Amino acid sequence: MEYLIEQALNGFSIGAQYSLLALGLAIVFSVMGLVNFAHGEFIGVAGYAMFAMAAMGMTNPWLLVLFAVVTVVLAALVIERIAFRSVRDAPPTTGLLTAFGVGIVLQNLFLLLVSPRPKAVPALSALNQTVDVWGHNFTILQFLEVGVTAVAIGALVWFLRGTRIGLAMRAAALDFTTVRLMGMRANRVIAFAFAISGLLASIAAIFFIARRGAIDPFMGLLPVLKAFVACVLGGFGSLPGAVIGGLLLGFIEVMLIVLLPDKLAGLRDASVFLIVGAILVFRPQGILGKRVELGDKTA
Amino acid sequence: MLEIEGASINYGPVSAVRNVSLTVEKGEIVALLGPNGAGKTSLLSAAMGLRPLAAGSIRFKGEDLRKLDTETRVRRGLTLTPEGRKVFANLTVLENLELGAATRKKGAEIHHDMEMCFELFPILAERRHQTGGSLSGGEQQMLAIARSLMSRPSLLMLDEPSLGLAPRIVQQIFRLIRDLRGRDLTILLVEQNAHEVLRFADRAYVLSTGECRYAGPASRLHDKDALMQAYIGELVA
Ligand SMILES: Nc1ncnc2c1ncn2[C@@H]1O[C@H](COP(=O)(O)OP(=O)(O)O)[C@@H](O)[C@H]1O
Ligand SMILES: [Mg+2]
Repeated sequence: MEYLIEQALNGFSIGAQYSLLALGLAIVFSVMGLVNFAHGEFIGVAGYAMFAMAAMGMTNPWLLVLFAVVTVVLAALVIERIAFRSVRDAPPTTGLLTAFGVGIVLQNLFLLLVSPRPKAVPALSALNQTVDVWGHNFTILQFLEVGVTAVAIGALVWFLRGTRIGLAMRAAALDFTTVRLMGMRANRVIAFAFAISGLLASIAAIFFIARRGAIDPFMGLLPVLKAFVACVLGGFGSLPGAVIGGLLLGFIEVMLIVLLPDKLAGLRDASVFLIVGAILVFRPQGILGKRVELGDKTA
Repeated sequence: MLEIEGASINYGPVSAVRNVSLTVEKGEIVALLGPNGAGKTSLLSAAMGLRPLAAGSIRFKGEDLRKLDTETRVRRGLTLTPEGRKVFANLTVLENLELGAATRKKGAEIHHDMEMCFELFPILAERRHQTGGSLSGGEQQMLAIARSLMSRPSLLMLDEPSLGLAPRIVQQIFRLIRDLRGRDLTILLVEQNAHEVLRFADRAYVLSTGECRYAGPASRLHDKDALMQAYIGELVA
C-alpha cells in the first residue's frame, strides 16, 4: 500500500513533466498547425544556460532557474522569428523539416560550444532529498513538480480565458484568417504561442535537470518524443488532451517500472509505446480528440 | 470612401477578378451582385488585405491601402463580415464580441458597444454565455455582424449575410442593415438575393466571371429583364 501511494505520486510527477511539454507542442500546433519537433531542444537550452551561468560562478539556484526560464522563452521567440516565420504559409511538411533542422542546429551548438559528453549540473540536486510525510518517502522535487505544474496549467487556463490574446489563440486554433479579420496581428498571436510553449518547456526542463543532475546535447530527444506521444494519446491539438495524455503516459511508465523485473528494464520504453499503440487501436482519435472520418469537412 | 480601381486578383494561374472598378461613397448602401464564382468574395478579401492585388489600386478615405496589413485596415475603419459568418464556434458570444474589438483599448467604451449590440440583437444578450457554435444560423449571422460592429467601422462590408437562412430571418437581417445606415455606417453588401437587396440599395455593381457587367443606380435593375441582361450580357451604364 505504502509503495502504491509513493508510486502514484511518482506517476503524477513524471506525468506532469510530459504534460508541460505536450501542452507546449499542442499550443503551437493548434495555432499554426506546426508540430515543433525542436521543442525538446528547449530542455537543452535550459540545461546549457544553467551550466554556463554556473560555470561563470553563479551559485544561487533561484537565479539559475530564472535565467534558464528567461533564456528558453527568448530562444523560443528568436526561433519563431528566424526559422518558422518564413515557412509559415508553406506546406506542413516544410514546417516539420524546419523543426528537425532547428533541433539539429541546436544539438550541434551544444556539442561544439560545450562538449559532446554529459556535463554535471548539480545546482538543483538538493531537491532530490527525501522527506517523510506520514511515513511515506517523497522527494521535495515530486511535490514541486505536481504543484508547479498545477499552478502553470491554472495560469494558462486563466490566460486563455481572461486575456484578449488568449481568446485569439483559442479562436486561431479553428480559424486564423478570421482572427486576422478582427484586426489581431498574426505575428503577435504566434509569438505568444511560442513564448508560452517555451515557458512551459523550461519548467519541465528544470525538473528534468534536477532529477538527472546532468545535461547532454541530445537530452531533449526522448522527452519530445514522449510529449508527442502524449499529444497523440490525448487527441492531437487538444490542450486538455495534452495534459491528460501526459499524465497517462507518466502513469504507464511508472506502472511498467513497478511491474517489469529489472532484467527487462531495457524494454520499458518499448513497452510504453506498445501500450500507447494498443490504446490508439481502440481510440485512434485520442482520448479527447474528435473523430474525423475520411471525407468529412474539417473547415 | 472606398475606391477600387482596375483591380485584378489571381489564384496562381487562375484569374478570379479582372480590371474591376468600384466606389462606395459615405452614407451609401452599395450592392455587389453576381452569380457564384463571379469574384465577389475575392474582391472583398483584397479590400481587407487577405489577398494581394495583381493589378489596380484600392484607396480608403483617400489613403492607399496596398501597403497596409489587414490589422491596420481594420484600425482605419474598414471591416468585413465574412462569407459563411465564421463565428468562433468554440468561444462564447461575449468572447466573440471581445475579439471583434481587438483593435481597441479595453475599457468602458467596449462595454458600452456590447450593450448597444445587445440592444440591436436582444437574442445575443440571452445567449451571451453560450458558444458561437451552439447558435442557430440566423443567430450566428447576427453575432458575426455584431462582432464586426465592435471595431467601430465606418465601412461595413457584408459577404452574403443571407446565405442559407430562412426567409423570415433574411428579412430581419436586411431590415437591420437598413437601420445601420442610419447609424452613420456605410455599407457594401454582397448578395445573391438580388431582388431584395435592390429595393434598398442606392447603387449596384454586377460581377460575372470576374468582370464588371453593370455599374449604376440600383433602381435601373428593378426591372427583371434589365437584371437578367446585366447577369448574362453587357450593360455598363
Ligand atoms: N482559395 C482559392 N483558390 C483557388 N481559386 C479560388 C479560391 N477562391 C476562389 N477561387 C476562384 O476564384 C473565382 C472567384 O471566386 P469567389 O471570389 O469566391 O466568387 P464569389 O464570391 O463571387 O462566389 C472562382 O472561380 C473560384 O473558383
Ligand atoms: Mg463568395
